[in-house]
Amino acid sequence: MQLLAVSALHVRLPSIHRTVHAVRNVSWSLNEGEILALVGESGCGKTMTAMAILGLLPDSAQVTGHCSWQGQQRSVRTSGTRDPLAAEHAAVIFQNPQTALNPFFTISQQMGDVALASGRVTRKSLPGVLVENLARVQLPDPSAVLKKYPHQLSGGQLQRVMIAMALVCRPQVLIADEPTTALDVIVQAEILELLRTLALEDGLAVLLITHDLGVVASLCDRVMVMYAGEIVEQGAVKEVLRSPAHPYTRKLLATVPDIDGSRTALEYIPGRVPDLSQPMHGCAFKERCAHRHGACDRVPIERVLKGGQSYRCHLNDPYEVTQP
Amino acid sequence: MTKPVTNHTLKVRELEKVYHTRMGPFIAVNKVSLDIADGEVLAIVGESGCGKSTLSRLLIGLDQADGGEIRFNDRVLYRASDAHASHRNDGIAIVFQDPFSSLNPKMRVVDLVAEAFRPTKLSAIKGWRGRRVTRRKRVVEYLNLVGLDETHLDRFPHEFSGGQLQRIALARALAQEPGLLILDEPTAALDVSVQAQILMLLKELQQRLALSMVFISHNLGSVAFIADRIMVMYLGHRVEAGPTRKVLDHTRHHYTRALIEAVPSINPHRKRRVSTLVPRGSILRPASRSCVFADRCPAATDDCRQHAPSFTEGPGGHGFACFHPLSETQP
Repeated sequence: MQLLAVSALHVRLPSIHRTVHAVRNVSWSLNEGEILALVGESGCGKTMTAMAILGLLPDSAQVTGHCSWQGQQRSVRTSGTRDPLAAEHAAVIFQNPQTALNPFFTISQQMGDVALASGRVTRKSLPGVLVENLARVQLPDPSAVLKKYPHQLSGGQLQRVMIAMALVCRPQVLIADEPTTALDVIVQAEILELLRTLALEDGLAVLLITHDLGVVASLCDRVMVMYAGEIVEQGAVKEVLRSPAHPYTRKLLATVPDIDGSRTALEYIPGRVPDLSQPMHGCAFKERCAHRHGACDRVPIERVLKGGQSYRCHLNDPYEVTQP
Repeated sequence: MTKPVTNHTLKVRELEKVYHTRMGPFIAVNKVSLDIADGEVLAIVGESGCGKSTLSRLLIGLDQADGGEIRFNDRVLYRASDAHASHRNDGIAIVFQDPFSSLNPKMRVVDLVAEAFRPTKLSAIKGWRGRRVTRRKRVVEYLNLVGLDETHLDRFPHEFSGGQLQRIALARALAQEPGLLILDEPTAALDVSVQAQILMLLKELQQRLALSMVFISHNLGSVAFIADRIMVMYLGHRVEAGPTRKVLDHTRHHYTRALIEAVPSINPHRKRRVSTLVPRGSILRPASRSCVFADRCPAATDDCRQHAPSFTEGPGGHGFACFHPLSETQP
């Protein structure tokens, strides 16, 4: 079942000298129990895309577009007002749990505030609900954790608390903004396992924002690759990672050093991300692409391959990319 | 790949560092020994709080050790018996994790790099004009080495991207003409595509200048790419050390195994086994006499809880500290 569909999303961030087009015409959807990855370099608009839907952007941001929550159509709010419909369906966890929690209050106070504000928990049932949610994220001894302050917990435990806090509102969609970047590999594996369990058992849909392709490969069902405010490729993880169609995705995959040590040289993408305040002519990736030709000055159309994988490039057959 | 055994640039024996906290002493580095040969890259891996950054601070002299010995090119940099053994980081340079905070925002690139020059470098030249020209010329040489050029000389750090800043930090470290370069998670603050650029640059520099390096990281992928040898640390202890491929392919210690299994691979067909580790509590203080890893180890026995295993080195320089090591021939 489709939980969330976003169409024609634009985000502009105006300032005195220039206007940055952070997200340009992005459309995507999220199904029940699905883990969808949003991948890209920093500054490509991943976080902007997610926060625009929740209405968590700064007041100055100009947002246009539509989103529908379980079929209820809604235009995306401008200027930083939170959408009650989004609040009802979605919850968010942030990158760094140490800064996302207030150091002056105990876990029970902070979780309690969230639970009561959601309007789904009464004051009477509150303690039980909090313990139940902490147990759900596999924290040992939940009632002891409730009495603690953030500095008394480790990074992995805090991230679990953040997830529990998000689950208290009983969301159908969980937006995770680089949830494991600040954590160690072993803790990261545990948190990813937890997200997987939640998606499988409770049908929670997860939008995972990340730049780690390893995380995408081991956890996600579908992936969207973003570049310069556009989605350049999307499809099932297995297909996109096995046979990437867009030159950018190919390059991105070649930059990752693997533990086998099979790579003696790493590729990297020459040049820089284009200036998003300038108008874009044609393909956004053309300046850094090894397969640039005359057609790249026109805007590429979206091409669809077998199995639902789609990409935006003028190369009409993905296998042309390997044989120049 | 057998390298001829050369003289060791850096020799560290039983180095210790104890922090005195309100809850009693905390041993951040516990009797760690290591050798780095000329032109060798040693990677130190482990989770945060395992003492890898403390170790790098001890090597460069930012912190003073509480026991043991550091020798560098047959000079004693630190010895426990010396009362005033605070050493200067002579011949050892460091690149920190976050280039945004490790470069002074008020200094131009030329000054940032030239600040690291040895005093003797320019003193031979007569006249301030000549010194100024030579100084700029020298800075350009180092900038070229890391892939930047003279157009970047008079800019400030805020005008650069993260990858470029890390290059400047690297040029600044190289300007000290170090015999040993310490890289403290040099790519952790950077994007994937930029990470690959910096790793390639490091590998190229290492081969061209025959630099010895200490590469501190928790990213096993980049470690496998760049390092000759690996040392795995857990709670201040050295638990496994040896040549890169031996440690990664024929892992002996259970902690190293867990680390390797936790790395998400970009190959979607490789199945990731669920980590068998017992979750760690927030208290990082093992009982004093047991094996440090006993609380979380899947193979721990009573023996492990009563005695600490000593670090034993096998053939090929592959050593580990475990009573019940994984078998050498494993899938």
